Amino acid sequence: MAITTLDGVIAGAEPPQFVFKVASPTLGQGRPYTPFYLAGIPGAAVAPTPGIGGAALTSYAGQIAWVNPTGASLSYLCRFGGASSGSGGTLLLCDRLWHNSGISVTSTTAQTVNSVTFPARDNNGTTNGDGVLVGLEVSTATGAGTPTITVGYTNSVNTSGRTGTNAVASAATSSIGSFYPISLQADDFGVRSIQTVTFSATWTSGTVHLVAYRVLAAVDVVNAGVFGAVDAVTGGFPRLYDNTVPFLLFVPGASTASNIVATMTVSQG
Amino acid sequence: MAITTLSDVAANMRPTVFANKAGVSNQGGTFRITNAWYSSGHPPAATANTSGLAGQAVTGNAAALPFTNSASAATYLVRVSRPSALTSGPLSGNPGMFQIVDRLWENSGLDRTLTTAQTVNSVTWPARDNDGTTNGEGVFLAIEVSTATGTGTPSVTVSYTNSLGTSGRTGTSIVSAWGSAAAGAWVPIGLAAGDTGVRSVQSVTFSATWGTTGVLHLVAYRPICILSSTRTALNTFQEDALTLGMPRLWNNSQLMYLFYPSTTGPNNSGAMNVTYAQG
Repeated sequence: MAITTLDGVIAGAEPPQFVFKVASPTLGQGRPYTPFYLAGIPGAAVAPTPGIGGAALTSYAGQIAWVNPTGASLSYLCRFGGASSGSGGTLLLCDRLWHNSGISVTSTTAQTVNSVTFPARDNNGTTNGDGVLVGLEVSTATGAGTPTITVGYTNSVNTSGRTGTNAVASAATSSIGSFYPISLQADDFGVRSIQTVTFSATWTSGTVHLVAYRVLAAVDVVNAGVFGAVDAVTGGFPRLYDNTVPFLLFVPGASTASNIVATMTVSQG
Repeated sequence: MAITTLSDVAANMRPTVFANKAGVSNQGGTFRITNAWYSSGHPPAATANTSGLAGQAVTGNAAALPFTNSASAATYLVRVSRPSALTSGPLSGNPGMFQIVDRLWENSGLDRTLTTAQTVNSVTWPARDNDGTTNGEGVFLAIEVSTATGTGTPSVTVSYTNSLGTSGRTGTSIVSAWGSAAAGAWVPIGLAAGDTGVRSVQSVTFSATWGTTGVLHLVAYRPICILSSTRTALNTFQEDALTLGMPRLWNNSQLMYLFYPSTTGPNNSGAMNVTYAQG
């Protein structure tokens, strides 16, 4: 089955999932941040500890609630909206496919990752990695240092030896929830697997994780406290696969500590 | 029965419900949430409940947005609209956002000066969670003020049973309580990691006294939708069945609306129009 009409969207709408997180630390203007580790609704996630090869995710405590469809039904994003109390910016709804632990923040040599196979939730519902991106996430605040982060990966068409670096400059004392998206190499459309991660300089202390994720929707938060939303049509009706692990990223327009509020509605049919 | 097409939505719309409630005084901070439950206007202001610590299911309160039950049809919220706030006059207030929620349960008798656990042991919720059951899926908690408080900024911790029936879960206040909180002030409570709702409440604990005056309540609620509201011009903000995501409402729904201010200043006057479809 698939939803192919607006009537199908109407008929398949599930109850909305609500998000409301406690205030973040002071943010970095233009530096992405995730409220994943903050208390609120949903509750705070615990930093993962699967090891450097990581774990493919089908659920994780702290994610936005998800219910698989029954029978042969498929899932789509029907509505996504949100606001930030402290500033405008861009709020992203993402599917968290994989994450790891055990990265040394003081090493300046290549650290072997050799990620386990990502779950079949790329843009096409496969493990190829089309549309799958990688970020470096902070679960314990880092110390001094502003390293360049280089990730060695295999792309979605299975070409190995590709490299990408952090799209946003790292910051000393990056707070919990800081999230550094890793760029793709030219002509790449996604990441199938990760082989290495390298820091150009020490980050002194802290705990970080690589996260493989797929962006499902983005909304403009035009100003602090103003709610922005997309619906089935304006959001492009993205397909969501079974065992989606929804979480949020926020790119703030100012550094003001912020509460994040969001709502996600899925249509299944 | 259920509504499964846009044609069904159009064919089964009920007359629009018009509401207009007085605003709440300046609460002095972004996202210091207030509700219109105790505000005058239409629907009328609620009288603070005196049900006791175990509380009561909320089913027929005149302060809720008017709602007509159906014995056989399913009910959905298919349209919400409100005008933007102005800087002065009857529609004066802050920019921010509105949230419509279903008020499931409320209690009374909380001691705002006590800093030890207060036993609640809530009575069973009405069958109005996300799935129309009493399990509490998508049901959350908040502390509500019905008589303005004194000084004090306690955090609030609740011990609850989650929607899967697991007891001993704890949640804490998402925004800090604030001193001199007006009637209608609303402090939402978070969940333990992995939880998706609250089935019942066992106790509540304040970290500090909330002043020498004030009356507080614990409220269980289910979020229905969120609507933006700016203050740039006399615009009307509307959401329809498609943009709302067709939220389902259960018989005896007790809808009210919360306001999340985006700046300091008087909280919004509460003009709100809603339309249901039943089919």
